[in-house]
Amino acid sequence: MAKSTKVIHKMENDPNARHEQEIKELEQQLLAHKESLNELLSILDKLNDQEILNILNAGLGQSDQITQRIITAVKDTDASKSIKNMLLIFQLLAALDMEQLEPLIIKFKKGVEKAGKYEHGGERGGYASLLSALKDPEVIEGTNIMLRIVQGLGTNVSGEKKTESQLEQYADRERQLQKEERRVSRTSPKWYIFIGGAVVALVPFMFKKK
Amino acid sequence: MSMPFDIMLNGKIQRVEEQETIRGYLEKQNIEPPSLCYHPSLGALETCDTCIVKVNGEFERACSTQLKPGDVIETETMDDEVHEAQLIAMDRVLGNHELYCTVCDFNNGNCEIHNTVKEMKIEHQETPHTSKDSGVQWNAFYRYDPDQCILCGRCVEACQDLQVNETLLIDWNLERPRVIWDNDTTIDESSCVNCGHCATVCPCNAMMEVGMEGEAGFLTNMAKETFRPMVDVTKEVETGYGSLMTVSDVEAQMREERIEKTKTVCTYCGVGCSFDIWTKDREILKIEPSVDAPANGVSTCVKGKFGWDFVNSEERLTKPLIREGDAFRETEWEEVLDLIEGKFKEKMAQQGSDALGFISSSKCTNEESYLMQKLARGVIGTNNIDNCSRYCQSPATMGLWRTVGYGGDSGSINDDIAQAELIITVGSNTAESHPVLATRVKRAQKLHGQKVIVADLRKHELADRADLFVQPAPGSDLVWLSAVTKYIIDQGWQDDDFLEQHVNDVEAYMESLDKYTLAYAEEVTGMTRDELIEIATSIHEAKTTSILWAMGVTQHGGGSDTSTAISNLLLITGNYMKQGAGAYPLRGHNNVQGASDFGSMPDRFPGYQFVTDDEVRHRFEKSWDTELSVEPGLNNHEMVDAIHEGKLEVLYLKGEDMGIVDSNINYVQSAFEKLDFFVVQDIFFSKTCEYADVVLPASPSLEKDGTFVNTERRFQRLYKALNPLGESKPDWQIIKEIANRLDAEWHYDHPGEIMDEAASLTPMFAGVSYDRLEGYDSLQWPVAADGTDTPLLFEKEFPLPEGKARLWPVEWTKPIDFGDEYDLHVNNGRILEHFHEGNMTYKSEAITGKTPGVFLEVSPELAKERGVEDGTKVRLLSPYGKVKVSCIVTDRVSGNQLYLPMNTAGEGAINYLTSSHADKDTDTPAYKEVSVKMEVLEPKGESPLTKMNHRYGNPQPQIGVGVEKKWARSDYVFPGDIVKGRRSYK
Repeated sequence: MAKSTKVIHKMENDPNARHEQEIKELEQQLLAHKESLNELLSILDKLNDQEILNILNAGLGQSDQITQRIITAVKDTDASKSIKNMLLIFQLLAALDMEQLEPLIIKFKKGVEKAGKYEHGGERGGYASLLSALKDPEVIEGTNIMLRIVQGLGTNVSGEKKTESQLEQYADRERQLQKEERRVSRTSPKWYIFIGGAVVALVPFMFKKK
Repeated sequence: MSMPFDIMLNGKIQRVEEQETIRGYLEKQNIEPPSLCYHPSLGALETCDTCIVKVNGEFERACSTQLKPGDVIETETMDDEVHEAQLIAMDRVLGNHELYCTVCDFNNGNCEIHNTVKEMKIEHQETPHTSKDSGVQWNAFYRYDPDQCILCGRCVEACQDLQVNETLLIDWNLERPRVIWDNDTTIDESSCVNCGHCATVCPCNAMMEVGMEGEAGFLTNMAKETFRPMVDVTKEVETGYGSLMTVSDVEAQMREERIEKTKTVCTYCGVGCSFDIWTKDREILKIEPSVDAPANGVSTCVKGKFGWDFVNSEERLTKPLIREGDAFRETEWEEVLDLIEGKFKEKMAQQGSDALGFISSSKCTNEESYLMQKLARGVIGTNNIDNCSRYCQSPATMGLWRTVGYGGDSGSINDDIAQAELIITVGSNTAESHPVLATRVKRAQKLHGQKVIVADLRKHELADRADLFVQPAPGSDLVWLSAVTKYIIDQGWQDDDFLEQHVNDVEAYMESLDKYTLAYAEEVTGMTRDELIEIATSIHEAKTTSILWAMGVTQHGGGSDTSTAISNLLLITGNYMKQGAGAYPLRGHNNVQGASDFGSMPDRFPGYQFVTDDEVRHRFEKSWDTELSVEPGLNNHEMVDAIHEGKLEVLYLKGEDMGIVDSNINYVQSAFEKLDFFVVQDIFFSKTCEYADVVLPASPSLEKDGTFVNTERRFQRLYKALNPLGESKPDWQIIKEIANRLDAEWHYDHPGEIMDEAASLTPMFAGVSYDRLEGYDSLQWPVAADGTDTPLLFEKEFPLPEGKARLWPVEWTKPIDFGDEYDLHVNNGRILEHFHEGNMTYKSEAITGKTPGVFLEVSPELAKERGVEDGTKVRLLSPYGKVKVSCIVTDRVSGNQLYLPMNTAGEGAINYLTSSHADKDTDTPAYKEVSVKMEVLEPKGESPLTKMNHRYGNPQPQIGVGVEKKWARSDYVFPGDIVKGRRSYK
């Protein structure tokens, strides 16, 4: 005859037995990973010696506030510019065509080698030797290459897309919009003046006796 | 089907086999244009413009343009103009959505904006992102951030035309359009039912489950004041989206390590919604439905989407309990199994096996149902095994066994119910009890002209939407169904060919209908002649009719007969053996179908094979290596009687709160008190547990593998998402351990092995195996050995003699008369938000916040007469008991009808009022035959239903998202026109 009951006596865990069990489990874990733990402890010792553990501890404890400070600082200082420049350099590197660049670099290297071997006053100087050098096919080829580079530098690249951050793009867009608005607002007064003039011209008619 | 035709695609002639949209065709060719508003479950919305292609030289949206013979389609052009148009569209999207992917909780590899930006190789945007200057909308289920919303309208389409709750709109008249709820109110004050469709279909983080917020990402839980500067810094340093995408992709990949995505099947109603559940350790982040889910697609209701907190509830049982006097104490499994072993063996030796009874659960898996009946039959030696479908669906099954041979739905939710020309629901509160199934009916009615007739006492949501709503007197459905059938025959509208080829006993049945004249039906049911004729005419005019019914039919003294009458009507009109037609008893629990399918019945083995059939029994005896009882056992109700009679002394019950859900619970509870030994296995300490000698902590569906069978006879696998909490165990493991204590020597290591054994013994499930149910794969029984399943249950014949169905004459059983003293009829059933007595759904703070407890619905006229208002506390008295409950006044009920939802185990529990009166053929309690008298206890009080409940909302029906209003705005120009303009300028 079981009467309805809602009373439940929770099992009281023996704290000593539980403690013992947990110690045993820990011991097994330690033994299973003995070698890795020794390595880890050695690293931890060094980190501790360098105060790094204390720094990490403090940093993690205050992580929310620190994150906010860092982010605000990055936003408000040149740090973001540095990061952006770094990314731009990466993009620039990606833009270079190494196949084209490589022969140029080899040629430049040759030139450096020759320049390195050149001794001041070792050869007879003067305009004559300069003029005779102009006949040298290597000098002619080198000059041609230099001319191509100079040509390239002179090309108009204003139509090419500039690498900008999202915010800069928005700012450009805003400027463009403002420009358009100004253009509209510049034309608007004329329109109002015309309407205003027409209304003024009509005033005498309003008071005209019938 | 249209004839194949040729088109030109990017300069090549291609053959098109069927009529379809350009987008659909391109997808098959693996040339998928970008698309953000398109969703396979919603179709073309035409809001995002990103799928623009050129058709015969003109720019068109690929999602909505139908392919025509000879079309010239260009997805790429020499001068990139298609890409340019798509870019313009995408740029507008980005103007509405800020890309901060790495610190976004939606960055899980499935953000469609993120992925489109990547695929289109977009590095910059022209249109700056700007705020819509409207705050974030938030409730306890989900949130809407207008500043992330791209106005694709998927959420609106899902709300308006898939869920058909009609709450969400986009207000295109605002300067900055955004999604609004009802008439631009808050989510909580709107008609929103929190079904979660909007969050499921949102392509980004605009509409998102709150469970994801600050949880999904590694960097998303940062302090609010840090978030904005962080986003600004990211933008400052980002020189293109490429690097942003890479970093966030890496972060998304890292999330895969800690967020588990596990496919499961919903454990509430019988629709059988399946979806992925996202978990982080034990934390549930969200439910992610899938278009691959066979029953529900992307649909869910509030319980399936948000009702999972119970799994981590502190109230879960985590250790076995043993009764000591008037209290329980926690114990270890060893001790409790020792006790069960001793008591079971002792009782079997002293009283014989039939002194023990076993009750299985429709919440548990098929494998667990199988093991429970195997334990009872094969180990203990008794057929005293039943399950809780006895409380609901046995009469429907009986009606179908009699007439068509199989006790299951004739077809499928999407292929048949949604395709029927006419839907008739009888005694079914479909929109609240089977919400996702109801969405298919509501959608078919709203978009495709499906006709809906509802017969019910109460004007619930589907009744309100019905083309014809009739209110027959309680318990009189058999009469009007038979009268409609007779009228059809009288008009000569019966399907003679079908009857001749496929049906037996036609003449005898037709003769039995003589008394069911329209006049008789009018008198008994209170329906009008016109209503009866309209129903008959509607069936006659529709090519296909599906009839859906539930507890309003079955839980009566003549529940089996009324179910039979439904099937008779369908047979007479030839509404079987074709798509869109048939009988659909809507199963109430996730595995009501499977619990009986797998043999938890007193007279049948798995697959409805009789225990009295020698050939069948010998097959099981050979496999189980034991002798089995030939005598059918006791059903649930007979077990309760046997306890009172002292014949049954030990009961093992799992996953069923029989002490509150059975009828006449005072009688049931007093039986429990008489038991010699009572084992209850549950996830919570239920009302029934209070009477137990031993309580075993079980694991819910998320903590185990297994299969369920839904209302469509569909097998679906669920996978273990979490480890069992504390020392709880999956039911199949507990049953195995008990069996092995009784020398069974079972060696199952995984439920898949149990299924293999069950399938090998059950011809109906011969081809069912876990391999064939991988992921979202499913099978509808019967399943042949080669794995061929049966979506349409009857195609060539019926599983009855001569392969023919049979018409089965039925008589009306008058509902019990409580006398004039008990002047109010109490209708009872489910509500949308809580499941049954609520031991799972009340654990959800969000759901309980909206619907804190039970309430009694009183009609305005009765309220006026008795001085009742919202919050009035009343006592209801029946001859069997009494309840106390607070009222709300609503026109969902009329006259002397009351509606008392079953969502409490407290002093308002309906079964304190119900009797032991039951269906005469199946013993299913006649829960719906309750009359009471009402006393006002406290005239004034707080309303039991908060005004934040969706019932007080103000839905705004419309079809679609209203994209025409967007196109009519002065600031809208079709991207194709812009490109054309630019080209002509050049």
